[in-house]
Amino acid sequence: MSYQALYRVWRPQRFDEIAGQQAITQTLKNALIQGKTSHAYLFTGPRGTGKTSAAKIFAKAINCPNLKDGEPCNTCETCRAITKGQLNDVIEIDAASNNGVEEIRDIRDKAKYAPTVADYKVYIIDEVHMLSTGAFNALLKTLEEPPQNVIFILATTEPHKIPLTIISRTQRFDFKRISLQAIIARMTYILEQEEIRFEPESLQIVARAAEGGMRDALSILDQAISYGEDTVTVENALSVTGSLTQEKLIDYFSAILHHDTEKGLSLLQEILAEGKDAARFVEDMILFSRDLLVYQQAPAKSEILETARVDETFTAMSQEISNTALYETIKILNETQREMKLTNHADVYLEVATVKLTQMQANTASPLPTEEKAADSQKVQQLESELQALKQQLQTLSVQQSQTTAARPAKRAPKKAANGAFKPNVSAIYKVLGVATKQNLLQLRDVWPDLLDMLSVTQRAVMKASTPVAASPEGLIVSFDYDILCQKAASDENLVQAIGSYLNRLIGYAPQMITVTAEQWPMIRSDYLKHHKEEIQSRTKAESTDHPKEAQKTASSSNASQLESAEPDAGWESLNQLIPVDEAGEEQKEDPIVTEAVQLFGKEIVEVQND
Amino acid sequence: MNEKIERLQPRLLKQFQHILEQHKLAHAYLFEGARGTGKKEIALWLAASLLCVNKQDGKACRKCVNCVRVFEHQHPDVMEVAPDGLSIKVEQVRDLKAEFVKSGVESDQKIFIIEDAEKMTAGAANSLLKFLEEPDGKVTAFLLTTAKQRLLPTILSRCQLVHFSPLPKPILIQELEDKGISQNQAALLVHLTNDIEKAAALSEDETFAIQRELIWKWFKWLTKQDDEAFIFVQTDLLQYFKEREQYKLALSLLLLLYRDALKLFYGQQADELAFPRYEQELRQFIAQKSSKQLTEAIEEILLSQKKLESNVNAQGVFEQLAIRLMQKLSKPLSSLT
Ligand SMILES: [Zn+2]
Ligand SMILES: [Zn+2]
Repeated sequence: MSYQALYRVWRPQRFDEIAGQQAITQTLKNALIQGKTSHAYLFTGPRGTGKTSAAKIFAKAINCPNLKDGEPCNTCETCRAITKGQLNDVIEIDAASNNGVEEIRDIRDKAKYAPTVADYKVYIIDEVHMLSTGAFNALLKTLEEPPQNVIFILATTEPHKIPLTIISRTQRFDFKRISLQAIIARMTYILEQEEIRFEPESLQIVARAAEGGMRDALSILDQAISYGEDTVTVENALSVTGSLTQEKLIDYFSAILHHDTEKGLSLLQEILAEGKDAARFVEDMILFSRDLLVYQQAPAKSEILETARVDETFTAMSQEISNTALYETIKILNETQREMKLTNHADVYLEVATVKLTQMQANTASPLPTEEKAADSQKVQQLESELQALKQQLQTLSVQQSQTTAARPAKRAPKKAANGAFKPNVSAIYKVLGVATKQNLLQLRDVWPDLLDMLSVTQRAVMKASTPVAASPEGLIVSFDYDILCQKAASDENLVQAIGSYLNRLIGYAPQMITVTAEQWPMIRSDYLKHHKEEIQSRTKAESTDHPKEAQKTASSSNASQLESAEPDAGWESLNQLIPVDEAGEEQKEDPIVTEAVQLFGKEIVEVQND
Repeated sequence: MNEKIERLQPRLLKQFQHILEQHKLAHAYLFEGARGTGKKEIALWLAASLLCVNKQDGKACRKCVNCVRVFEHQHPDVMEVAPDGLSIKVEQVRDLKAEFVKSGVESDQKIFIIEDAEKMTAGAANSLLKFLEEPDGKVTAFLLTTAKQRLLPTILSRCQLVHFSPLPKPILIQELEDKGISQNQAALLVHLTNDIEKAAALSEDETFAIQRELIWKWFKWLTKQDDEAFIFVQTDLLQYFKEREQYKLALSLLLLLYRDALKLFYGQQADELAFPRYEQELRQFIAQKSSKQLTEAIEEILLSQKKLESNVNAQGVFEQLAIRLMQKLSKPLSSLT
């Protein structure tokens, strides 16, 4: 037995059954009740919003002898014949397959004859945008001299392809994308009728993926049903739609929040490896960003959230992330979505987007502008106006909510470091290493070329062969290829000051630069690692429930892994074995030994800081 | 055959077995995923399952006369349509529909499989719409595509969408190594295709080896910001990359190099690289680069891909890319407020 798709079984037979288009169906019903129908209609709107259904119901209603409140009875002979597509006076034409002049002339000729059985002849021309120019002209002639008792209903998803001369001779109805609530209500009704159980959250997921199309929703629902055993589960809904769990979204957002590019990239890789759809991922992220924005401004109105489930982590995220960051996130994702549309390199676009998102505040307040494509500008405009609407919506929402702003980095006052004659300042270096983070280092390496560009010619000559090798919020270790330049850089106060102030402009804080030669660096680093390894091992028993304070927070991702970016050596490897933090994926994070080591290392940081 | 599906798509195989057992196969599917992920294999297996005279729990026996003919592309009630040249034309869809108006040659069950469905012209796609929605008689449709975003939304909304994910790269690499392909070579190949056979063929292609070397040379010229990088396009590149698909290959190879650089920049494992053979050189390359420069370079290449897609002259695209990459990678943008 072939299985009948839900959207075919449950095609609306009454105006009341068309989901989410009340304004249109009410107008049509009123016209029918008052006998004031037009001789030509144009139904436009996205796929699956009820255009063709409305046209067929209209054809029934206008011919039904038992019309009641503008609805057809669906039981009389005429109604039933139309439903089955067997009434000669209701003619459905697929303009995509019959787009020539001949076909339309044929309609014109036949339209002259009075209806045979019904009161009105109704021509429903679907996909009308596919008509050829000649056919449109022929159609126009017919519309100019409408035959008696003939009604044309033109339906299209692409109204911009319809000549204005045609549009002006029709009464136009724009079908809207169907709201989530309306889609969920209709699916609930159908599932109840079909006696199929469902987990409520699953319908939310299906409806979201349907993007306003009822037919899409029912297709996805069908599929979710077929994957399971008589119950629509959240798991199957996620699987069919390729959607992400909220946990994953939150994880990705915290990578953005903490400028943790590496984490962001590895999450992305994990998500794509699971077979999630790249486009769905971007869409989910955009919707989730919007929900965070909305919730931030009006936590009391959680019912207007589109996708998010309000729980502890969601609330925490909404408090931590700034609304500027959210607007930027949405902007970057919108651009990515647009660019990704016509490419086979969706994964690369997402990687670039991930870098941009996690580097958002690190470089500049606003991300790089990308070239606008004329062809897509319409879509962009639409998105921008949506964003604008959202902003307004947010402003009108309860104002009294105390606003939460982004967690700001702690004070960045550089410590005084002894900067005498050149000789590596090992204690200062150790101090930096104690709180060094990979993010700080990457951030600095990111802006390093920019920094060099800002220096004077002579200063640049000194710094040209330099590389940041480790960094904390307060200190920066720079290695020099040439001893003489290292010496020079360390003793040139103007240079050190200039670097500080330029860095302040570039990244918002000014870590103290400590210089070291490329030759010395591996040894100093290796000593440090050895020293700390012992300390760590000696402290394995000592447990602390202390949370690192604000200043340590940025450092908590392990100062060990930042060292990895330099060439590996024995010291590094031993530490790496002990604390494989950043390189490890999520699974390893759950490993208790690793967690312990991280805690320990966190504690270590606290102690070094405090002395 | 089932072995191949089992290897490529174990999860989908289970899912469809379940669906067949429940008699819940839908009438229109869109199978979406990269080449070599088993879309056609599953479509044929489902077609056989519908026509099999000796079904086992709703599934194809693979032995009966119907099954055998389906797998040999000989069954009269299974129609397979593929692009005629660059596109699937409206006439092809019309022929298909005409074929289906007739009753099934041997049964009332009919199946059509459209490969590269995204290549349907607007006319072809539109004329398929009504048919997908209300096919006459018992018709099951399988549309296969590598780029679902190029299909009309109205087609998408009439199909059940099934995503075919590629095999994880480490597994693909292992399979290639089992075929005697070197690890370095395998790492690159799996970044270019998911199709084992195609990858194996490529590994023996001498031109490909030359092409790969050329792109590496080009990359080095670009890194040195040597004018040679510009001249190189005409003197060398275009001698070995001669038509559309190859132009795209050239950009893909270059893209992979910069992407590797970005991956190294962010400390990802070396075994995820497409060019592990150049790891050391790439590490030197990133030492003086910012991630912004790297992402901008990647974006430039992606933009060039798009230009090629819209049929801009290849030499122009390559030369412009060379200039812009050299600009991007030399002059850091320091336009700060
Ligand atoms: Zn009636
Ligand atoms: Zn069989």
